[in-house]
Amino acid sequence: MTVQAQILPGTLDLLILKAVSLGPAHGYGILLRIEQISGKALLIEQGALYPALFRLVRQGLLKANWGTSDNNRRAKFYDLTAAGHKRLRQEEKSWNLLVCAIGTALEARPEEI
Amino acid sequence: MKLLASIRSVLSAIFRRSETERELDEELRAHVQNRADDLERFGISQRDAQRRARIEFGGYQKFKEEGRSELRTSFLERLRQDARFGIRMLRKAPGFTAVAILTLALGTGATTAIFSVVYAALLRPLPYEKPSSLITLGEIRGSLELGSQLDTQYWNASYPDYLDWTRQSKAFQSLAGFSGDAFTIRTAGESGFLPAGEATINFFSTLGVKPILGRDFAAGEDIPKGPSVAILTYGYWKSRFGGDPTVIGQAIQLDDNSVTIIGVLPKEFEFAPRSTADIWVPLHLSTDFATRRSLRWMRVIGRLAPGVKLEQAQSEMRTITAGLAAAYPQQDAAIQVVMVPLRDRIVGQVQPLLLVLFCAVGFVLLIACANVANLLMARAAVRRREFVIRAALGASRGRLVSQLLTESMMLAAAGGALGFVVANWGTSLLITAIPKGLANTMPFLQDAHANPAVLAFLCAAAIFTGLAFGLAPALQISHQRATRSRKRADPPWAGIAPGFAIRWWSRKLHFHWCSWSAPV
Repeated sequence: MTVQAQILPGTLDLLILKAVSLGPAHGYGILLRIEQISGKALLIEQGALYPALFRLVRQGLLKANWGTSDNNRRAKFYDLTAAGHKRLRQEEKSWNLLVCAIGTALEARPEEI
Repeated sequence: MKLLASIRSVLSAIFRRSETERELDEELRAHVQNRADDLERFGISQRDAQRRARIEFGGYQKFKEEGRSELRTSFLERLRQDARFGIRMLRKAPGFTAVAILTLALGTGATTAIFSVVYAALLRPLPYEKPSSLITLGEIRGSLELGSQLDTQYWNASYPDYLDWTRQSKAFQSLAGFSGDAFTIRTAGESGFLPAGEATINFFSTLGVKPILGRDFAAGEDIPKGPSVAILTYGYWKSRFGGDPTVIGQAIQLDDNSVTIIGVLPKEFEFAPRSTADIWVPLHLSTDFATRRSLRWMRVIGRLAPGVKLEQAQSEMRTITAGLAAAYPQQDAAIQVVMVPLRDRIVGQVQPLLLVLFCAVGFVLLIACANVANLLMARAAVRRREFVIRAALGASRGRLVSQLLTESMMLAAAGGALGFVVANWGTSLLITAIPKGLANTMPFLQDAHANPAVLAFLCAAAIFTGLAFGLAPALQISHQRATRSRKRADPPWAGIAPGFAIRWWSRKLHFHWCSWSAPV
């Protein structure tokens, strides 16, 4: 199952924030981490990552610094800002609420109506 | 923090465009390269790995473009959007736009023109060297009110006293005197009346004024039977002699004397206490005027020696006066010398007039601003529904405000630009409207142009009005975002927007202009 970035822009942002919260990473690293923490069930269209990253930087949720990656290449590393941490917590909460609500709705049986 | 991040991206987008572009390219390329490396580790050939990595990345150019537009400053984007939207809105209401711009232009332009002419005529710095050192000295009898001395253009001393001052004073590096004079000028058959000034030889050198043609008076030229030489003012030289440089050395007939023209004064020269003088001649004194100590007719001006303060000069003069009173008890007893800086005498005359003028002009500007404000508020009332809907759709208050701001600024900019044209035209018009005789005594006025400082101030005033009255309705509207109904029953002029704006600003600024300006 491929998560289309255009369809769930909010979800991609959430995943990015979560991935970065585990530690600073560059674009490719974030991609790998998302795949990893989602148990390889989510495959992101790779290029879509970057507009999302830039948008999050512009919104002040991520900050970016150039550094060297582990294979000695120059890379731009992203990290969460304080606002980013806060937004992550908020989004997690909203997401859980949403999932709960939809889950409950889906368990509805004919008798309950 | 979000604002800071925005500002940072603005600045980086503006100033480091190519660097940002390079970084973007580098980042994306590195990503693809990393992927290719990983694929190679799985045993895929280098060429296949590169190809696979590219494919997996997705539309490289597309995402690069999206990334680029995200990176690009949102502020500039919003500004561009607001500007486009604003222009569209203004074009949709051409009548309103035209009237608003015209009103602003006339208001700022007319007031600037008036300020400029007044500045050139009355407020410009005195055209003498270090004018603050120039002091007027007048004799008064002790009983006279000091106040009455200060607001006249006349102050007098006697010639013998003046000579004594010159001899005894160290506080003044130079003392000169002048008085009014008039001649009948006779040329080839016709005669005319010529107002003049007569002055001591060192008059112009005391003021620090040098003729632009010819020379200043020389010692010995103040003969009693005179005058025999004369210096022309610039205006008179231009009007009577057509600016002919060969006028130096020419002889003219003043009363019964043949007088040689020896110099021409600079264009900027103006001497308010004797502003009507067309020519200046050296003193030509009959015995009485020269020797009678009790005849006080000459106006004395002195230049303070370097480093000397007025108080020091005053205390020195008290000593000198005491000495004179003792030596000549009949003529000089109970005489005091009043020292007033020349500037105070000149400007003091003018200040009340200026105040009235500035107030009148200020009101003109206020009325113009009030008219534009009316227009803006009426318009805002009409657009209230638009704002309510936009707010309900999620437009932040800041967005609405900034959009109105942009519109107001564009109006103010257009009004200001047109106002500049009006100001220049108005200044020229005002100057040509000055009666010929008066204009000749102020040749420097021909150079007057719309003063940039004043124009800048007036543009600021226009912008401020635009902001103040453009914003107030927007802020009030967004206050009532969801609560205010979209009921069509409400007429657009529900009295909320204009009344609220006026009351709101009145409270904020304690500015009761609405009770002052009747047209509002």
